[in-house]
This record gives sequence, structure tokens and C-alpha cells, in this order.
Amino acid sequence: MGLIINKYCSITPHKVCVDGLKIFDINDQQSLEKSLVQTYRNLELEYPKFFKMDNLSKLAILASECLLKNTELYKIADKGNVALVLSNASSSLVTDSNYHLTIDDPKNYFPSPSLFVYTLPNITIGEICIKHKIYGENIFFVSEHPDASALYVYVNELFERTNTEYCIAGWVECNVNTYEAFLLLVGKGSNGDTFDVKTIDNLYNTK
Amino acid sequence: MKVVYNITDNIISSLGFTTDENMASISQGRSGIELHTDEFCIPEYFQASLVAHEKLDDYFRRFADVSRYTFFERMIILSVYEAASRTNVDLSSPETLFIISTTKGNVYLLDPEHTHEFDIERVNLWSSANEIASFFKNQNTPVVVSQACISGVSAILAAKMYLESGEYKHVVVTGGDMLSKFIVSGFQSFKALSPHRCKPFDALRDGLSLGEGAATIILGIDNEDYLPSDSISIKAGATSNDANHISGPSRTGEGLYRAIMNTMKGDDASGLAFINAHGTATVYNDEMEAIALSRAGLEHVPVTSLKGYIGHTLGAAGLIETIISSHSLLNGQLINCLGFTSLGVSKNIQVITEPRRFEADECLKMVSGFGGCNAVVLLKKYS
Repeated sequence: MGLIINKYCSITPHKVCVDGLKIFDINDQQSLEKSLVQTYRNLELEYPKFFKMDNLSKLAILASECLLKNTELYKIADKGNVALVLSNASSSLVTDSNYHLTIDDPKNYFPSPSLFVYTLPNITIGEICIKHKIYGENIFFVSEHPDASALYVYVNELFERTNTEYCIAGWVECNVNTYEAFLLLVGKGSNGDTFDVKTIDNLYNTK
Repeated sequence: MKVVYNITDNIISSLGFTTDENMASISQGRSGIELHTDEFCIPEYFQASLVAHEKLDDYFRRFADVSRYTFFERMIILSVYEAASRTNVDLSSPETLFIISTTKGNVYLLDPEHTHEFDIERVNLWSSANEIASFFKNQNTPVVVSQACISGVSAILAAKMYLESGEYKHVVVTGGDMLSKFIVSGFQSFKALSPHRCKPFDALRDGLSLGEGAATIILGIDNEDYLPSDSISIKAGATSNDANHISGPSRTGEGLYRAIMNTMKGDDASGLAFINAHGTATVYNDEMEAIALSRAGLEHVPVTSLKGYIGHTLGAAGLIETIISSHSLLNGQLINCLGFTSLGVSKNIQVITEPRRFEADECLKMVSGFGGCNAVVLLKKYS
């Protein structure tokens, strides 16, 4: 039995898609913050912590919700065998810059702990794990572009050598101009798209 | 059976620019943590372990152009260069992969004081990683792991995966972090820094001491029967999230407990000579680690923290402390927990107070970090 892609989803400021099908449009004439909130409302999510998060973590929470909703995993209380492998290009750079504004001016020096805590890209993993009670293997990679072959090798080994039964893997990128999430739910099985480099690239490019 | 093993390593810290210099300083009980009152234009003073910048540049100048690389990159390049000088591993080979561990890389370039120094693109971790890999003429896209304070151990575990996949013969796991206004002010805003030199697991501990540094481990893979004598292998490891809080350690040590159990996979602890804990000396971290060790049935295993020597070196911590643990396994000598006097956690863990000999051939290295992440690696000595 090989690895398959059970489900995948993508979120941009324009639209949200699940398994390649658009589930709704988003008004792209608004700020990134507002379009994330619109996505939250459209997904009928009730999770007040969402509003405390920076844009990158908001995006990660929305994408994980799209991916896991209506799956058998969603109902399992303790997800000890679910791994998370996320990546992006900008790390937490938007929040890093916002945090820096609180320390730039010596006359107005008030370093903000609530911003500082979001100046790490793996906070996205923490937020997803808290929301869905996920305790499996986790790692955050930074690469200039989504790197399907690096992802493929790593995820394959996770299934091969750890307790991993499912893996949430993909790309959660947020910069000053735009954002983009693309997540896969990888599992063991034979009914579904094969988890390989070509398929990952295809799904990403046609999302 | 094929095993992943350490071919050579290097540590750059306040205590020296080679692994041997660092080991020698530690065996003499030296700490690199000092009081800094006028550093980085930060109004409050702080304790930290800083790398000697001018001395590092003197070394760097012997083989490369100082002006082309940021200090973060210079530390890492020197570290890889020094490690590689003692092996014949071809760093430029397509079968060699670079994995770079860091939390904040060149974030200091966001400071208006420094923005003009380099192309601002260099603030991206992938861009900085490309510069490092290119210096060694490596053509593979470097893998960057950025996972708060567990980055170093996560990078080692990722290297093990990439080697076991058969895609690469060697992995250069390197990484580091430099201190800056950004990092120091952030930890101050959390009230996480101690006004004193940090005291891991102690009753009077009141926060961490920051540190900067870089480290490199060049890993290979071979049949266990063919390993060079006195090799350290990366036997096993695991990561797990607390799924509890993004900035506070779990009160039950959940993620760390699971990472330990998934690493030990039912092995008993009789082979463990010691545990090298994260031991940051914050009230909650050290208590969380004690709880996780107790739940895992490891209260009786000698435990130490290296933070009193070199501070918390962030993205370098997992690498530096794994290397020091490896050399401790090789020389058979426990390292005492500098700064510790009397037990200040709720479980009866055995904190090491004097350097004594041991016979066992395995140890655990644990790390935990913001985002609720935890990682554990099991090292084994092959004689």
C-alpha cells in the first residue's frame, strides 16, 4: 500500500478551493485582513482565538479547517499519529517588520510581547495543533518556492520510519501583498491521487 | 543495519571556535555569559553569551571576504569550514545536502540602523541559506529548518531522514543565530531574561540567559559494522507538539513526554548515561521538563543543562548541545549543570552537580520551544 492524497485545499485572497473545486469566491478588492475574516465567516468557523492571531497563523488555521472538516480525522479527539510538515518563503517576515516598528524609535520604545510571539513561522504549527489536538511529528521548512521533491522525500520517510498515519503537508505563505495556502492530507491507501512529486506539482499549479 | 553517524563537528560560541575549545572551557567550568549594559541600543541591561566578533572576523578573513557576508552567515561559514577541514567529505558533491537551522537568520537587517548594509532580500532565510551553500559550491537547494528553539534537533532528525531515504551520502547540518536588538528586546518583553547568570533547575532560577553561536555536524550513513571506532550515531528521535499553548510550556509536559516515548520506542533506560535537557532556567520550562521526565520513568537518569555555560543559543542550541553531548559520551565524563545548587522542580530528577565518569553508551538530548514544539534525539556511541 502506497501513499495517497486524501484531500487537498488552497486559499488565496480571491478564492477557496477544496479538491480543485471552488467552494467560494472572496472579494479581492479588500485588505488581506478583511479577506481572511471573510474566509473565516464563510467557513462558519467559531474560534475566537482566531482574531488574536497574525495573518500567517490565521491563514494556517483557515487552511487546516478546510482540509480537515468533514473528514474522519476531524472527530478523533487525540491525533497522536498526525504529522504536520509546513513550509513557506517569507517565514514570519510581515510580523517581524511589525514587531520591529515597536522598537525602532528610542523615544517610543515599547517591544510588544503579543507581536513577538508571532515572529516564528512554526507558531502556525502550534496553532493548528491546538485547534485540532494534533501531537504527531512536526517541522517547518523555509524555501524560496514550494519544493515538491524535498517535501515528498521527507513525508515519505515520516510514514516509513515514524508512527505517522496521516500527514498534513504543504505551503502557508503570507507577505505584505498577498497570501497563499496549499495543504495536502496524505495518508496510506490505494484509492486516490498517488502522493508523488508530479502529482503535488500538478495539483499546486492547477489549484 | 545502516546507521547515521557524526563524521565531524564544530561549535562557534563565546567559549571558542572549535568543538575542542568549547569542551575544554566547559570542563574547566567556564561560563561565557556576561553582563551587557550598552549593547544593541537596548535601554535595559542583560546577561548574554556573545561571540567575539573581531576575533571571528580575523579567522574569517584568512579564507573569505568579510564584507560579503552578514555576521550570522560568517559564523555559519566559519563553522562549516572548520568542520570540513578535518574530513575529506566533498561539500560540493550533488550527493551532499546542506540543512540550515535558524530561528531569525538576518532579521537584524530590518533595523533601520543596518538595513543599508546588504540587499534586503538577505533577510529571507532561503536567500541567506543560498549564500552559505554557494560559498561551499554546493548546487543542491539548501533545506532551511526554522522551528523556534527546537530547530537544531529538528534539523538533525531531518538530516537522518534525508540520509535514510538514500538520496544523499552526506548531510551538512549547520545553523546558528546572532543576537540583535530584535531578539533581546523580544525576550525582555516576555520578562523571560534573568538579571543574573541563568540557574537551570535551581530553586532560585528566574529566567534564561541568551546566547549566540553556530554549529555544524557533518553526517554520513554506513553499515554499523563499518563505522570508524568511537563514532556517535543518531540512533532515533521524535518531535511532538503540546497542542496546548503557543508561548507557555505545557503543565503536563505532554509534547515532550510523547517525543521521549516515541524516541525510546519501548527501550528501557538502562543504556542511558545521561539526559541533556533544554534547561533554559525559566520557571515553567524546567518544571515542564521535570514532569515529562517523571512521566517517562526517567527521574533516576542524571540530567544536565548547558545553558549556564553558553546561554540559550536559539537556532544553534539543538546543534551545539547535541555535539557537546556526543563528546561527553565519547570521553565518558558527565558535565555538571553550571548554575544549579538546589533542586527547584516538583519531581526528584537527578541534576548533575559534579563531573564524574560513566560507562553507558547512550544519551538523550531534549529541546522545547515557542509554538509548543518539542524534539528529542537519542545518541549512541559505537566503540
